[in-house]
Amino acid sequence: MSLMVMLVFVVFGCSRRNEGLTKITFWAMGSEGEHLGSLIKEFERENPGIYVDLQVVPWGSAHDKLLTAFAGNATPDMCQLGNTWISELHAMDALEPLDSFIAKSNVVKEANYFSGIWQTNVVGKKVYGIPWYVETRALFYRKDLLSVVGMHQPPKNWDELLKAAKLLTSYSTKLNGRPCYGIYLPVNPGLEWDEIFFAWQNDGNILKDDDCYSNVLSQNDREAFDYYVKFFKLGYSPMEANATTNLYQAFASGYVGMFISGPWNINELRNRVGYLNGKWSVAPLPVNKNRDANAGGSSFVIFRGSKEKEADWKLIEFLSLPENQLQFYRGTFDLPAVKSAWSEGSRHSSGQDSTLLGNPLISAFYTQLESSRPFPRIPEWEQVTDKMGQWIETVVWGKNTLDQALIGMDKDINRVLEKRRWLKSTGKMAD
Amino acid sequence: MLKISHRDKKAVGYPGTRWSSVNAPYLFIAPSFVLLAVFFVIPVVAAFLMSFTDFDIYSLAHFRFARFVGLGNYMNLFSDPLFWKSMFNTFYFLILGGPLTIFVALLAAVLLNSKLVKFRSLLRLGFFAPVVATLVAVSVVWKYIYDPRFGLLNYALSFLGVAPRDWLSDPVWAMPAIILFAVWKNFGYTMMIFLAGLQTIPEVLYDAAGIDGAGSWQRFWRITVPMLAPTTLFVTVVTLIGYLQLFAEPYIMTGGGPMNSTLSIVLLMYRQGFRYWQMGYAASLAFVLAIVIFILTMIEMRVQKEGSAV
Repeated sequence: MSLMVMLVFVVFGCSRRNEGLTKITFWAMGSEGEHLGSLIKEFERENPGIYVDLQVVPWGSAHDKLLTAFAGNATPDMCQLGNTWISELHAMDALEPLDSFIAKSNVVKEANYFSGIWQTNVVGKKVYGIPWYVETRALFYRKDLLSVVGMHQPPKNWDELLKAAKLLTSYSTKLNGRPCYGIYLPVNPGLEWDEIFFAWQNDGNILKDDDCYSNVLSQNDREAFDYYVKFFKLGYSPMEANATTNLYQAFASGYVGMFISGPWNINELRNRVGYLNGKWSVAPLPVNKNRDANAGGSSFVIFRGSKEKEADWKLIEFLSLPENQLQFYRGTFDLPAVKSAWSEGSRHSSGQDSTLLGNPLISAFYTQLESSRPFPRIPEWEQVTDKMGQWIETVVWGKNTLDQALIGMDKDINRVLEKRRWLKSTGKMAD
Repeated sequence: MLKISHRDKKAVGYPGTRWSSVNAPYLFIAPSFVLLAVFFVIPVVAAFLMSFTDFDIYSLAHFRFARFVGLGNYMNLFSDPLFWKSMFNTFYFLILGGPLTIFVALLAAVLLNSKLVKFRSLLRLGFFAPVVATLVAVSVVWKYIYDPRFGLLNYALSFLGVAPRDWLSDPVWAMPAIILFAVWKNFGYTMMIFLAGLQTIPEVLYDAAGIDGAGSWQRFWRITVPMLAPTTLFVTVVTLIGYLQLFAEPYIMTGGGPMNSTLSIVLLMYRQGFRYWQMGYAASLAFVLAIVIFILTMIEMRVQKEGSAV
């Protein structure tokens, strides 16, 4: 009985809402989707002709869902997309280029965004996504321990990072009476990409020739990987695959003194080990030839199959307004993609700066975002990073020398890219 | 198909025309055949054909981007060190974990079947609980048990003077750790089947043996084990097939690492298929695994049948 009533309600509710309304379906992921409700309501109030059907998709199944939706011709009108997925969906020809919308927009302009982040949305010469929120990697460090060993500033370059790791390792080990480490780096960096950042920072590139061949045998790459492995060989980083299960505890207990991670850990640390507040801080990554890290985050995309592209774009523009970006940040702590939102907000009469830039923990990420860059925009990228991580791991465990591993890595990456080279050579791929 | 001649039907008083009497059975089995075709035969045939192409993410957009590669996927597979590594790991898991599971399950079943043990239903519940517990939840608990610094296992071993080690991060110890976890998680199911088997053994056999002066060890060896043979065969085959498809435990606990030491065949297949979208390659892996399972099960049945015939 109650089921019937509900059914009637649903049918009735739908039919009434659809009357003369433009309906757009919007897939958003995880907590982002959950915090979007109030902004969507505001949008519908401002645009009485549009009804947004917001569907929250869990992050874990989002990737599969999108690809099956595409295969079954059931894509939504628009979607939030992790910006490393754009190349995959573009390879399937699922996304609408947005250049013509941007050209006539007063809100969305390339200059409003971090350039590295913007680039993640460009494939070939066309723009397929508008950045929504952003993330990159920075250095979390124990301020208190570092100053005890005589370093009052966070490490500024590669030598200082190595030195800080060394000093923290010996200081904490002595202090706690058991092995402790200066920095946590993953033994297999396949999912965290630290070795790739080091390669970029050494002016290296992972791929070459239009991302068709591996470049890991180059001198610059080799030096960077050598630097990465050194932290393990010298005993400054633990040989633990799953330190991350207890990373916050490990950081709080002094087991590791530094780690490289993303902005979400600011809140994780505050919530999980609140007693440590004030003893740690965040700095942009140390500079070698540059300080580049990945340009991450999520973008808005419009699917080719959407019939309401003008309405989709209106929603994108609405969510890209600085004040709405900031409101979204307050709900999710996802950093805004629009740069002006970072200095938006009130300055208290007490002189306290409540803008994002006024918070030193968060502003470190602003500096880092200014030198962020996209991963190669090819659908094989995940395979490439997995292979790299696995080969690096064998060097860390001493199973291969670095040079042996690099030869294997080079061969594996080139094999992964075979299909891409074939598509290029036959001219079947547009870009 | 059961053959019923026309005369027989008349004999049992079949009404109706010739057409319906011949075709009616097909009509009755049609729904299940249609379902079988749609959800089993067609996908399997499609996957089989796919295993001869390099179907991948590019091909999902345009079918012309798929190439026919003949036996290429299979050749690549057999020259892929990761395939052999995953094969080795899977058999390592099977050969150590399979007998261990069955042994522990039998032990627990015999224990629970004995009238000397108190709180039997409580114990049965305790042993069976891991089977129904969510794998993700219990693997979080086990991750903490294996933790190098706060873990229960290292703490317990420290009393025996064993140095602490990082179970899941050590390429040598990760697989044994996974095996221990899997045995704990799965033996309850096997135990239940053994219990059911034990309860079908007539009590009189034990009584008779007792009168003849057989000790408890002899009674177990001469009565329980042979009487359980059909149950053991079933349990062994099910465990064999299940363990060859090892996936969830390493997927959640280690992700296949460290250094691919816990990478199983199905995990490799999952990676190739759903992380890299190398569907053709993944399909060829699936067929190789299916053939391996088929052959092993055949051998297994043959060996056990011969064993029980003696």
